[in-house]
Amino acid sequence: MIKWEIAWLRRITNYNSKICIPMPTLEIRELSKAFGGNRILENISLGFSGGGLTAIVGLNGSGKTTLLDLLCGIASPDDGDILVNGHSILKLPMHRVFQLGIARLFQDIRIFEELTVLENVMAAMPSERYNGLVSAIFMRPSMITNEKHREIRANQILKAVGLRIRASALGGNISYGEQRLLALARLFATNSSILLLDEPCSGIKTKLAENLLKTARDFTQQGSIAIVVEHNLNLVAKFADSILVIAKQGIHEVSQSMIQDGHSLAALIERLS
Amino acid sequence: MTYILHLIIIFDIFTILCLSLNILTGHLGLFSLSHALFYGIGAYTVSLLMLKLGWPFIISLIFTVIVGGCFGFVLAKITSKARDADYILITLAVQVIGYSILINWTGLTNGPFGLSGIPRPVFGSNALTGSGLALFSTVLMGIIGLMLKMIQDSPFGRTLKAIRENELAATSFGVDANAFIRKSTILAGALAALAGSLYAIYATYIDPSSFSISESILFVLILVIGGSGNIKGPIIGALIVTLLPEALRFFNITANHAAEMRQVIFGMTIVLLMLLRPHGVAGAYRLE
Repeated sequence: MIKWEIAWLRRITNYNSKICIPMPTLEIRELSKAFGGNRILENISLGFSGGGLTAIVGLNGSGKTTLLDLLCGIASPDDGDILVNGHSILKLPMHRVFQLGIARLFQDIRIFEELTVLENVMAAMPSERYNGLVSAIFMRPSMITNEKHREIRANQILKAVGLRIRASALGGNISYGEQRLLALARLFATNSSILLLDEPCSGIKTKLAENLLKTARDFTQQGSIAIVVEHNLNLVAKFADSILVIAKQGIHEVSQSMIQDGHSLAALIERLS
Repeated sequence: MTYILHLIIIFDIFTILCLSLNILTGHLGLFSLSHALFYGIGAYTVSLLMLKLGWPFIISLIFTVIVGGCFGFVLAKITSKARDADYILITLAVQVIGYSILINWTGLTNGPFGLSGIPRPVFGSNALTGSGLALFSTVLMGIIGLMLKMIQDSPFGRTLKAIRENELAATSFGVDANAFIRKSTILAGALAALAGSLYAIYATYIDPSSFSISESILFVLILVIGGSGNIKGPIIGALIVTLLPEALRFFNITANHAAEMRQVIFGMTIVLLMLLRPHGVAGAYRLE
């Protein structure tokens, strides 16, 4: 049984934080993106602030993952702007977008398979000072001390998501469900204030999926923003603070009651049109 | 005794070369086919500095390492957007171009005739030969091995492996992958040039044939045989490749056929390793 210790998790992940912004803001202005003449997103404008979990739902090909790709700097929009705490992220490479506080969980997990579970989490912890070539040779004592602190934090995060016992296993040797949890642990290890989760619950059991989304939502209670792309409307209705539906007509905010009515996603989109 | 010292020096040179190639191939997963060129750049630079400018060995060696690092920087810039097959093809092209320059720039390199009479380093009043040179190369190899072990076990080394495993995921955690690859290529180029310097002062004669594409392939094969992604794999690979031709002496194979036999045995070893031990004899990473 996985023990979820959220308050504690928040405390340890904010430990010694340099980049965590207490109340981040994310603003999307008239964003458009097309692939080969096929308009995927058109004039999308959204604002996120003050924390909370926002779910984005939509049919396949409606542009959910594209929106996350634009938000984390993998792709560039054709038009519009994205502002993180007032700073535009357009033209910034992905690693610089991360430094502004945006971290991404990929749909296809992207675990470092030949690294241990512990190393996977430690690799996600930002540390400009001790990641260099010079510090590896000439600053060993302070680098080793820093590594010990990182290891303690990484172990605490793994304990919180129930993977402490698998810390020394290779990332490629753990089960699919455990890899999903590891991906979430890595996301928490980044200390980022804006979390983008692309279908974090796909392919895992409902109970685990509920725990995973609950963790993500609780993580946002102190001001972080989590944006989750998810297909399962029941899960969305249960855990999301706000729900956005992407359709050809644009992006719409819907109430939880609309989803709880038991409509399918297709029916919901038809109602909105 | 001289024969043993020869083996020690060749082993040291191979080890430094393969440890440097291991930074790119084992830790970053970048399959470089231009490493013999860096080896050659080191050998020619130190030889020209000592022969034509009369620079002392230590100064020439330091300058050569810097030159190797600079060429590493250039290679990193050229390959900054290339990965997998693209990277292999670009490094192959760089190797072929570089080799052509070594052959054809006769004013500088003396072309296919090479450079002879390269002086041995002098410490005090004695030229470094035999056991002194073996000790020098072994100490250098030990220092480099230790330094690379420290890098491997550091956050820098872990980040290289993360880039190798999934560059996009590593970048999503704030890693500037190109900067890490650039630093690693500079380091690999500098160390390969250092190995080339050792070869030049040991052989006292160099020509372009020692720095051809077949040598680049040999270095990759050493990593395939010994293993990559750690320190002991390249060392064991270098040991096997150094001792294998010597083992043929015990089978009454004439010198004319020894080179062909070596190729046959290498080929068979690689096939067997691929089937039975894809990580190499002592490697931590499977080359893909």
